[in-house]
Amino acid sequence: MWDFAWTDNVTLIEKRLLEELLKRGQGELKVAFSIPINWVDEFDIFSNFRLQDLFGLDAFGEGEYGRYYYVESLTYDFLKQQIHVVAVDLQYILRQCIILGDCNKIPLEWEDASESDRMYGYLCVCESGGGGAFPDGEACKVLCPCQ
Amino acid sequence: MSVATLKHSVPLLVMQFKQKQQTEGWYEYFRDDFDDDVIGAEWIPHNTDVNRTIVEESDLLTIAIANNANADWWYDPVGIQLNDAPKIYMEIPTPPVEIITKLNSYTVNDLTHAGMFVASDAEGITLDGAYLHGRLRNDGTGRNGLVTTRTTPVVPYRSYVAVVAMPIWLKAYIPSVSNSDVLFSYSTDGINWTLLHTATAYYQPGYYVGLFAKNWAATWSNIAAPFEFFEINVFEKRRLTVAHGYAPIDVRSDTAFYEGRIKQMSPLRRAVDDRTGLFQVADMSLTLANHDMEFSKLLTSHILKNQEVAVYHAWTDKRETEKSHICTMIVEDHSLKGTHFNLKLKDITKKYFTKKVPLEICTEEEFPLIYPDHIGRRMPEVLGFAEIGTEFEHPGAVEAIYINTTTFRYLAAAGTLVGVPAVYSNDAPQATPGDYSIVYAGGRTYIDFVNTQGDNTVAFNCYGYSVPAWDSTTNNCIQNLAYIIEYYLRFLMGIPASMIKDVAFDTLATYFVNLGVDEDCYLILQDESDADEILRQLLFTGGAKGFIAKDGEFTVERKDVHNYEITSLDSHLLSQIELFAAPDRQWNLLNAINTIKARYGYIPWQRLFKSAEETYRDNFYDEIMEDDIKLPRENLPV
Repeated sequence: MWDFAWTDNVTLIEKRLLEELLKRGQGELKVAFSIPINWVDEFDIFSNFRLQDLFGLDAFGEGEYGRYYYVESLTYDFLKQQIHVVAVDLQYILRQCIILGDCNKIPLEWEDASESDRMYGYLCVCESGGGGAFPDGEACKVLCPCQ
Repeated sequence: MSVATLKHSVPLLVMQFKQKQQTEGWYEYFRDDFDDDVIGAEWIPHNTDVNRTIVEESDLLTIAIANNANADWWYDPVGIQLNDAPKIYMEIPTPPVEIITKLNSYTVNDLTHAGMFVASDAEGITLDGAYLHGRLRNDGTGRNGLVTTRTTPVVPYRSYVAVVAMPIWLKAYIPSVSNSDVLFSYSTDGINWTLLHTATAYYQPGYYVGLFAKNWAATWSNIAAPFEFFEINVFEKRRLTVAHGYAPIDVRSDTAFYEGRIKQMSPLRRAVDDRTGLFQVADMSLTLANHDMEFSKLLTSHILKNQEVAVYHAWTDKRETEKSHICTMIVEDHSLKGTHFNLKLKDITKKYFTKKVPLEICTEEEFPLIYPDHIGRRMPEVLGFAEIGTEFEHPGAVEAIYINTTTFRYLAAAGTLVGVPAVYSNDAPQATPGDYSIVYAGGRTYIDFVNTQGDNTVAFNCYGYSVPAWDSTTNNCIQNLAYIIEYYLRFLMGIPASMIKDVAFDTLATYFVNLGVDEDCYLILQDESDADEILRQLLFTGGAKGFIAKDGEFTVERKDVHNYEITSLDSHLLSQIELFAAPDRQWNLLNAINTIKARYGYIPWQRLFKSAEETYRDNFYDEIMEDDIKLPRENLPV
C-alpha cells in the first residue's frame, strides 16, 4: 500500500500514481559510469545530461545519439581523480512528449506500438479542461518547451 | 619563451577546531536582517489585522497602522488602559545583554511612536507594563524627537531629546540577571551612543523585547515604521573555533594555506534516493599525517567532535577563491595512532534530520496541572486545513492536549493557528462561546472550556500556521505543499535560512499552483515521529526530491513533463572518449510496478487515512509474462 499522507486532493493523487507507473512500469532504467574529475563542476545531483553511446539503446540499432538522463548520485574519488555517476533514464518524461518519427517504421495504431515506438508522434483527442487519453488510459502527450 | 601551466586537481578540507578553554566576551545571540521576506519563527507577532500590519519585504520589517485605526498602548490607573499596538517580540536571553535595532526614515505623523520596547507583559494590560523607546511626535506637548517612556504615567517615567535625524539606532542594555537597570540609548551613526533613559531595577528574568508602533487619540494617525535589522548580543563565555586547511599536498594562495597532510581519503558519495526523494551522503574517512605531532598538540586544547569540515575541490591553475564547494560534514569520531590521525566524517544534515518531531513536549514543569495521561505528549503542529467532519466516526483532525485541569484549558497547537472552526468532545460538536473559546497567548493556541470535559477526547479542525508570503489566498494559511515543506524545514526542523534555497521552493509552489492543487495539502504533527520520515512523506506526496546542492543549500525539485526543458546547456558525454569504461545499464526489473494501491489524507491521532485508490496500467511486458505462465497443466515439465 502506497501512502500519500498529506493531501486529500484526488487530482494530485491520480497524477502521482500515473507518474510512478510511467516511470517504473518497465523497471528502473539506470546507467552507471565513471568520468574524470575534470567534470566536477559540470554535474550536481538532479542535473540533466545526455549520453552518446555506440552500443546504447536504439530501436533501429544505430547507436544512441544523446539519450537523456538525470544524476541520482555522484561519488567523488579525489585521490583517483574520478567521479562515479549513477543516473536515471529520462525516457519516462520524454515519452510524454511528441517527437515526430518515421511513419514507415512505427505501427499506425497506438495499441500496436511498443514502449519504444510510443516515443514518437502519436496523437490523441484532447478534451477541454485537460482531459483526453489514449485507448489504454495513458494521458495525451504534451508539447515540451524547448530552448 | 612560453611556459606551459600545469593543472592539478586537488581536494581541500577546512576543519574547525573548537577551543576547550572558554573565552569571555560579547557574542551575537540573534540577528535578523529582515531580508528573506518571512517573519522568522523566533518572533511572536501581536495585534495584527487588516489595519495593523507587520510585513517583511524589500529588506525591511515595516510595522504599519492605517489611518483612524486604534493602536494605543497605555495603562493609566484612573484612565485609558489599552494594549492595541502592533508588535513583534521575543524573550530576552540571560543578561548581560544588549539589544540594538535601526529605524529608517518614514513620515512621522502627530501622536505616533515607534521603536523598540522592553516589557514584563507584551500582550496584557498591566501596571508594570513596558518601556517604549523610539521616535515620537506630539505637537500638543511640543515633543518631536526621541522618547523613552514607561506605558504607565508614574513619575519618573519619561525622557525626551529633540533628535529628529533618521535613520536612528536604538539600544537597550541590561547589565544584570535580575532587578537590573535597563539603559536606553540612541545613536545617529551606529557607533557613538548617547544614554537617554535608565529604567531603574526594572528587568526581571522572563521579560520580553521587541519592536512596536503605536498611535493614540485624538488623531489616530497612520504610521509605517521601517526597521532595517534587529540584533541581540550577550556577554558570556564561549569556546571559539579556529579553522585549519588541509590537502594532499601543500597548497598556497595569497590568503590561504592548506597543509599537505592528507594521506588517505575515502570516496565521497552524494545522492538523492530516486524512490524516497531523500538526500543521502555517505560517511567519509580520512587519514592525516601527524609526524610532527601537530594533532597531538591541537587535541590537548581543542575539541574536534561534531565540528564542521568543509570539502572543496580546486584546480592549481585557478585562484583559491574559485574553489568549488562539494559538501559540508561533521566529525563523528577520530583516533590518533603514532604518525597517523584518523577521522570519520558524517553528513552535516544528520544533525537536523536525526531528531524527533514535534520538538516540544508537554511537561509537568511547564504545565503543573496537566492531565496525568497527557504528560509527555508532544505539542501538536499544524499546517494547512486539517479537517475531518462528522461523516467520519470520530470527527476532529487534531487531538488537543489537556494542560490545565482546573481552568479546563487544552493546548491546540504549539504555534498560532489561523482559525479553529470546529471543536468536538468525545465526538460531540461544541459551541462557542457557550462551551469553549479559542485563546492565543505566548505564541500558542489554546481551547478554554467553560466546564470540565473529564476524560473526554477533545479534537478539533483548524486552519494551520500562517506566513503571509506563503499563505493561500482563500484561507490565509500555508496550504501549498512546497511552502509546507519549507516551513517544516525552517521552523520545525530548525534548518537555518541560509541553508535553504528559497527560489527552488517558489518554483515548486508555482508548479502546484498551475496544477490547481495549491490549497489541498496539509501537515499534522501529533505523535512522535522521525523528522526525516515526515520529510520523506511530504516529498513523496508531491513527487519532489529534496537534496543539498553543491552550494550547500537545501533544494527541492521535480522532474515533470510540464516543466522539463531540453537545453543546449545540458552536458553531453561521449562514451568512447570521456568515460573510463562502457556505461553499465541496469533495468532493475524487480522494482517494476504496474498496479498501485494508494491511501491518502492521513489523520495521525486516529491512525486513519480518509480514502484510498487503486490504479493500474496496461503493460506489454506483463502480457508476455502472463502468456508464459498460462501453460496447460499437462504441458508442464515433469
